[in-house]
Amino acid sequence: MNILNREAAMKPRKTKHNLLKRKNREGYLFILPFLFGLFVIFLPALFYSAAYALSTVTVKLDDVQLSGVGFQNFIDAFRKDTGFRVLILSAVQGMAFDLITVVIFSFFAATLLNQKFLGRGVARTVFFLPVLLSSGIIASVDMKSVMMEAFSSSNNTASTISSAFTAGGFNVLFDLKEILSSVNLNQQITSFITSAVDNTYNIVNLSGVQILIFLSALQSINPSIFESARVEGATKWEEFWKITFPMITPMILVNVVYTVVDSFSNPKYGILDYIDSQAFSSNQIGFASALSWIYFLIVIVFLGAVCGILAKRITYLD
Amino acid sequence: MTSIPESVAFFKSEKWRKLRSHYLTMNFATGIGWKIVRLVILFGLCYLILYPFFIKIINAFKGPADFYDPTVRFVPKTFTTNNILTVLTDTGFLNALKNTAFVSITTAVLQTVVSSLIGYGFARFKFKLNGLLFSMVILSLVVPPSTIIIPLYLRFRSFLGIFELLGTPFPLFILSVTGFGIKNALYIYMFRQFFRNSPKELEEAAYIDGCGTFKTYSKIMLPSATSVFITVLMLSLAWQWTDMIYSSMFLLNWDYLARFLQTVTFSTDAMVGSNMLSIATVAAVLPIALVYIFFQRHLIQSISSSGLVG
Repeated sequence: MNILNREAAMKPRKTKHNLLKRKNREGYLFILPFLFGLFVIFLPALFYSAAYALSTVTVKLDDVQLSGVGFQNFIDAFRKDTGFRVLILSAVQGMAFDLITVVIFSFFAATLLNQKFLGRGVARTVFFLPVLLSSGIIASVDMKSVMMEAFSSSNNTASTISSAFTAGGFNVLFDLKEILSSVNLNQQITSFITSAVDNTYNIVNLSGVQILIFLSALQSINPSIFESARVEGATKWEEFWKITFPMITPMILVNVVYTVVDSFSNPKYGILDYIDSQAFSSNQIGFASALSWIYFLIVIVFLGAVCGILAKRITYLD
Repeated sequence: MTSIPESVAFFKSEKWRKLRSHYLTMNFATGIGWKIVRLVILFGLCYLILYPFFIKIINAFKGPADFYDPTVRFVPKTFTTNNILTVLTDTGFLNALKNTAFVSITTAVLQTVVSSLIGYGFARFKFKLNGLLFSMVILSLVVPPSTIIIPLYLRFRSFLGIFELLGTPFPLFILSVTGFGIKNALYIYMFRQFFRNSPKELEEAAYIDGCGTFKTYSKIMLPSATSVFITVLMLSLAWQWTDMIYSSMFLLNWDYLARFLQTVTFSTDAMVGSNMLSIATVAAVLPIALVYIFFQRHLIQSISSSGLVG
């Protein structure tokens, strides 16, 4: 009786947002596969790696044995391991540079590739190639084959490599640094611009994915918005800042997040290689797990800071 | 009366006025100027990207003597197609290509479809744990695969306590279906941002017409996401295609591309090896590039793909 009464008393309150609530609860159905993966695969794996980080790990015949050592691995990472600190510091500096140049460049390149011109399909495909060439096995094999050529042939390789890996030729054409300093630009800005130009090849290679993401964002803007803006007399400049830019801000956030993550895991800074070498060559799986926990906690702090700054400037239509 | 010189007459003619009003305008000048600048920029960047690739293709046609001849830079003296034929008829390579294609296409389709579902779920439903669970998606993007690869290996050795899945592609499929494949979180994030930014009116109209949530998603929202869908499909295909971490852990006795390229790197003598390697790399990359050429046609703005009018 009591329970029934209480239910009856609650009824009016419940029906108020019932429909919306029920609809929103269906969201769990959509993310059901993710929930399964999260609780059955990802979180347990993460839990194990945390357990490894807090212990000394010995692998015996397909079996993993742990003996707890508390936070010793973390303390060692900061006290004994001098190499790791340097790697992290250089990665943080490099990331700040990559983030700015890559996001700006990829946005610029995506706007170019979104225009109509002859051979657009070819140009787009060429810009897609870095995604393939700079990922996984292709990148690592490429590195090795360049090394092999350098060691085994007298075929003017030094110049081939340098022209293949830096933009090359910029210094010969004109001295950018001098021009910039002659117009009295700030020293820091000058060095930023010159290193960006020197790194053109790297930046192009790093921005393959970001260009694709921006391209898809540009294409998903409804053309009729531009039409109505044009009827109202908007200029191209206004169209860009009032329509295009706000509409792609959500994807700018995606690109910023991806660039931060990708830049940290870039082989150029060697953090992940270092962690892998600790785990598999030196056989210190526990210590390596501690290193990678430090690594991704730092990345998360960075992401949090960057997203915190950007989040309020993102416009969503919903 | 002297007659008007011909050149002056031309400048007074109607034809000149027409030409002038058409071509000697600021609009036209900036238009041409921009086209030239665009051409130069795109050509330069394409050259930059293609140069290493181009060198590889040239190396493919060089005979052994050319590699030790300092006068040969671009055009080979002893032109040969033997190298290419050796790689393309190598059963190991063909087998690897076939296996990689099978695994990559399956995982790419699974990842794309599932990510779009999950992304839609996060974008449009304000359930209680939305924020917390979505931060887990970002977390899974940040955690490097090598950190969790050992626990994953142990997990799939006896999945749910029954199934022995190592040596089969099922670990990769399971990871894809649950949204934890290679960089899968990025795809979920892309879909979520896209759906959050698409207008609500279409869905509301669909609900009023009696569509359920799933039907609204599959019939209304997914068709409007063509460009994101294709981009995600291409990315997941490319990354699974070139993957070495997950494949080397789970596909124990399989021939696949990464393993083939690795064995070539370490096996033959340096010069021939590097030649074979460049051919194999080009042959490995080309199929995906061709698929992209086919798909990029659909990456165009169109009213049909953008959904709402007005």
